[in-house]
Amino acid sequence: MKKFAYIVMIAAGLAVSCNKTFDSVGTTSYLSGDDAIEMVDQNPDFLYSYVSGFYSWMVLQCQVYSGHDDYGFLSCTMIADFMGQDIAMANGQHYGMYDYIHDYCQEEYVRCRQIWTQFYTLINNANSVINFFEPDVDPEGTKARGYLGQAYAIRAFAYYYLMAYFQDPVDADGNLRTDAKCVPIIPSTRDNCTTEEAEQLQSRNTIATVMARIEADLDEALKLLDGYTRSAKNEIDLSVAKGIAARYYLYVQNWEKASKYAGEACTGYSLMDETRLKAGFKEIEDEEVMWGFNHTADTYGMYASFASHMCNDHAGYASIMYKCIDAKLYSQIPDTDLRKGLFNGPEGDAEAATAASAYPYASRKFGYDENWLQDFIYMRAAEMYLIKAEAEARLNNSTEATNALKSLLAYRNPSWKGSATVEEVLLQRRIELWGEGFSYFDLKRNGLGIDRNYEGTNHATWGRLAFPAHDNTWTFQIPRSELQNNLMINDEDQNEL
Amino acid sequence: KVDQTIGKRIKAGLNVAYSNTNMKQFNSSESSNYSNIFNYAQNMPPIFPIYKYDLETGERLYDKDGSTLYDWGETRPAATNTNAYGQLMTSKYNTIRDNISTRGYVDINILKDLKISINAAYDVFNTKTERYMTPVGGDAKEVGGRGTQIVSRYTAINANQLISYTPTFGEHSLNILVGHETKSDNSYSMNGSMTKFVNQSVSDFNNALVYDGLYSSSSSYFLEGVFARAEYDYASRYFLSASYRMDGSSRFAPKNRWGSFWAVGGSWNIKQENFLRDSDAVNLLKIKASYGTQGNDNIGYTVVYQDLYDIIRVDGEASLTKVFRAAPDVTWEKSNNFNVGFESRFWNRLTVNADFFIKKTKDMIYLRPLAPSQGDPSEQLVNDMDMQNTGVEFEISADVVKTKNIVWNISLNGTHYKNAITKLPADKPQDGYQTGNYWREVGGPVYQFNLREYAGVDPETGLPQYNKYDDEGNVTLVNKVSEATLRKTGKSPVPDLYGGFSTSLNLYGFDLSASFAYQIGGYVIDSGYMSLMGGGDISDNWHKDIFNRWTPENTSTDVPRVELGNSEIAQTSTRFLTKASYLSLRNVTIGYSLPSKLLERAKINTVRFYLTGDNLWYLSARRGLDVRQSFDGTIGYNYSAIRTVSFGVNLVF
Repeated sequence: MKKFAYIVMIAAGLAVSCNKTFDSVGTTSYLSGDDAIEMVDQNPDFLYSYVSGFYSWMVLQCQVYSGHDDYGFLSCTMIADFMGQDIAMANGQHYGMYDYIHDYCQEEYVRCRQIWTQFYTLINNANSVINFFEPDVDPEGTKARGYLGQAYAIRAFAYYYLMAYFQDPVDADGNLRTDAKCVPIIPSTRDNCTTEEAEQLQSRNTIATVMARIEADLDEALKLLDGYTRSAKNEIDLSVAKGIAARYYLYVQNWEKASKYAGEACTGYSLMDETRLKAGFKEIEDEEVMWGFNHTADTYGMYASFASHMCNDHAGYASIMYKCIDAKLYSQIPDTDLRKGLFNGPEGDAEAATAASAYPYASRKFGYDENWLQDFIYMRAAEMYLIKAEAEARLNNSTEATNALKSLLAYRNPSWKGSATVEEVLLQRRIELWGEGFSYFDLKRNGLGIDRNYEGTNHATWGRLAFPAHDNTWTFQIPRSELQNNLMINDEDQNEL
Repeated sequence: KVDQTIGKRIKAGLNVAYSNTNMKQFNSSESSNYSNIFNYAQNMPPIFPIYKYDLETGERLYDKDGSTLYDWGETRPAATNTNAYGQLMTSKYNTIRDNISTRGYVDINILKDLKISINAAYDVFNTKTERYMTPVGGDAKEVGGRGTQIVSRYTAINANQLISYTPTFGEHSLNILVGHETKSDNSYSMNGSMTKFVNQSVSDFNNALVYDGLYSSSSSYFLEGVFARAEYDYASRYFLSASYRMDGSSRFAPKNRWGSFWAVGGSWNIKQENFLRDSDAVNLLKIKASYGTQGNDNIGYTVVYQDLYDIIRVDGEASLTKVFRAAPDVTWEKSNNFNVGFESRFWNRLTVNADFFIKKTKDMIYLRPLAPSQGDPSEQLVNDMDMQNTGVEFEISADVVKTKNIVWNISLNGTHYKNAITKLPADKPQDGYQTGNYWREVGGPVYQFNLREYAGVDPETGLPQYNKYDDEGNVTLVNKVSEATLRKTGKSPVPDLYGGFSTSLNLYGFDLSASFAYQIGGYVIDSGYMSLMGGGDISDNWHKDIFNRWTPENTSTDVPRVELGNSEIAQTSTRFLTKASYLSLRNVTIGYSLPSKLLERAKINTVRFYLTGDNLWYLSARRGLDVRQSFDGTIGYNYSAIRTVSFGVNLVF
């Protein structure tokens, strides 16, 4: 009997071991592409997870390389900000130091690839959403229209940034260089391209071609997003799409459209009062914030985050390389301006908790959260007032310009009495948008250089450099991996060093 | 353990074993950040203290219970709020593993020469890992401590069913085997993290306040194979064998799942021939040759044929990020091996074995980079590119002295081979192309370095110089590495010769042995040295060679000047291409065995005392350059082999 029991046990063991098949294996670590497509088939609302994927991609850490200065979209605009005049580094050297001295834009460095990949991934992910829809027919239903509209909006957004990083937009006279080599275009099935056309688009199209793509995408987005209600400020809705349009049209000097969309975009948002202004720019719930990302314990990046680099009150990288305001810019902020309080003065702040936040001219704008859960802010209504003011000033409509600027400054420096000249608005942009990733693009579109080596400078000794307008280092090179693997771009197409 | 015979023809057995392992590990990463203790040790300037000191008296400080206080560098300009050593000593990283291992078999002898065997092996590993980073200082200080608990279970089933037929006809014997085999691996893991621990010394989650992530996943692998093998033996002199197998792997798409592989071989045991059988001088002489194909599906991915999306949790909704690009066309990587060699032993003292081999790897699986404008992930697995290793292996062992009380043996083994690409990926320029720091071309090694040429220091300025070539091949000197020209170096990490040698001596009960590993030739990029030879910054460490840097007084040197923040001072180029030759003393053992006469009365067979040391000494081109873990000629901040010295007693009853 005992023998029989052994035989049964062993035979059972062997039988179980043979019971597996190829179909029952795989991984549950990830959702497979086939399953995802089937889930969209069964429930079209599941397409939202692809759309939401745009926004989580924009905050993912260390996707291109393992550095903590790779944390998505805001890392790209932050390092661009470091290249300008307005952020003065102090104390040590760390992430961003090579950007500060314009020595990180060459093809072999990770920065080119980080920026390139950030935006091209958005474009390809947008295409995979667009490819779910029939060509030539607009979908019915506000949700479906909203998803498709967001895909077009994010694509326009991405091409705009690629254009801005990888080419000098204006010539010495300030005119748009529409014939200059720009970036490849990756078509979706709804773009109705032949294979040959699609291949041709892989080359460095002209700025004009890329502009046409952006404007077509913006038109689609504005049409489709009309009537869509977003679930959270993570998403792009009609107001944000208009904000993107305003940002883009300002860059390409289409003042009428910039003003129109900026004016429409900021309706419904309320500018920060003093309390909110000093609350640390870390909550997208603030009614001035139009678009951003609400971080939770599931998405935050700790040391690889905006706050780690930009918040001097924090134990992150700002505690090694302090982020200060340029002394000259600080001196241009009137004492009555609430925004002066977002920075230490020349004496520093003896009361401050950290060495960085005690430092002269240190920024106190970006606030501290002990759990690193500061939100990412991409767009604020203040920017829209400034776009409108500048565009109107450029159009010589000084009354409209001044009104727009006054609407903003009523919350910032109520005693301001001036007129909104272009210069004045550009200065207000530097003050209002300090550290939020705008200064590099403003310098480029206005054909301006920088000089950090002035009397009384507070820039780090190793960063007291001057970079004239149109210097080659203002433009990033196409990443080497693109040159190596894209047959339509050759070494001759590379931006000059 | 149970073995049971049932009747005359059936035998069955079952063996169950259990083991338990407790491990305390480094709470440290392998990356290039400040929590990696190896990185920290190399790159942290030694002026920064590990411990807290009284700034007035210079005395070490302790807390009230007398335990160590670490200097976490709250105001240190470099690596603020870190102390890799303090983190190591105050954090936990413990793993407990239970392993149950079961083996079962049934053998059925149907006829004298015909046997059916069924074998199964089932292993279960249950593992619990706990990591806890202290709130006292370091990375987790801000969040009040961070803990991770990981529970995982891994099972592996291997089963085969074999029919063997082993007839003998006079001096001819045959061994024919057909079989079926399945492998099935399943793994599951759940891990959770929390922060803000109430009692700083308790790492369980009931003691923590803030949720920081909770994940679980499982994955499985299945392999099925059928095979047949025939072996023929004539008078123990001539041997022939042939085999064939087909394997299906769950990693590949259904249409590419199955691969078939075969082998043939033969050998001649000359010692068994009449003219050598009685020779005392020749104890063994055998020549052999074989040719066969093998498959490899061990590529580090569970499934390769579907896109994979990571599900990120955003406001209670799924958010998809593509993390893997489907590669439905990928199938088995194959290698064709040709071997010819001999085995020999003479005068019972000298053993000489040697093999010549050609190993051709076909349809190599690798991640092909795509243009990053295709979006992330900008790489895709493909089977493309063939390469070949051609070389020899030898082993010589001699008992130099062999008497009753003294035996002294010396052994040497080595391998020399040449690595060459035989087919380039179809989509790449067929006259060669650059990838990373390498140049790929037919006939060249897979990892041939392709670098800018360092041309010394400009004696005027102290800046590094590199060669820039124009189309005619004329050279000009440039100071920025990015302006210099990438050139094939003809150098690769493949050594000219590598292997080991050892010696052992037995002398009146004492035994002494030493074994060495060596490598001659091959190159690495010494990135560790590069990071220690930069322009300098308050957070940088320097190699002592920096004393030889260019200064207005010291103009004839090959070390450029130092310059705060100038990244051009030390860049990847031929300057840091370094010979990868090394010699390491892997083990020394000294032992003494008590004379057996003494032990007889105590009914003990042997008593041996020994002292043994591992990884005692290592020599390479630069002190601190450990090339042993490098296959592609790069080095990182890896764990070096750990030196251990131990004393022991062997008792055999």
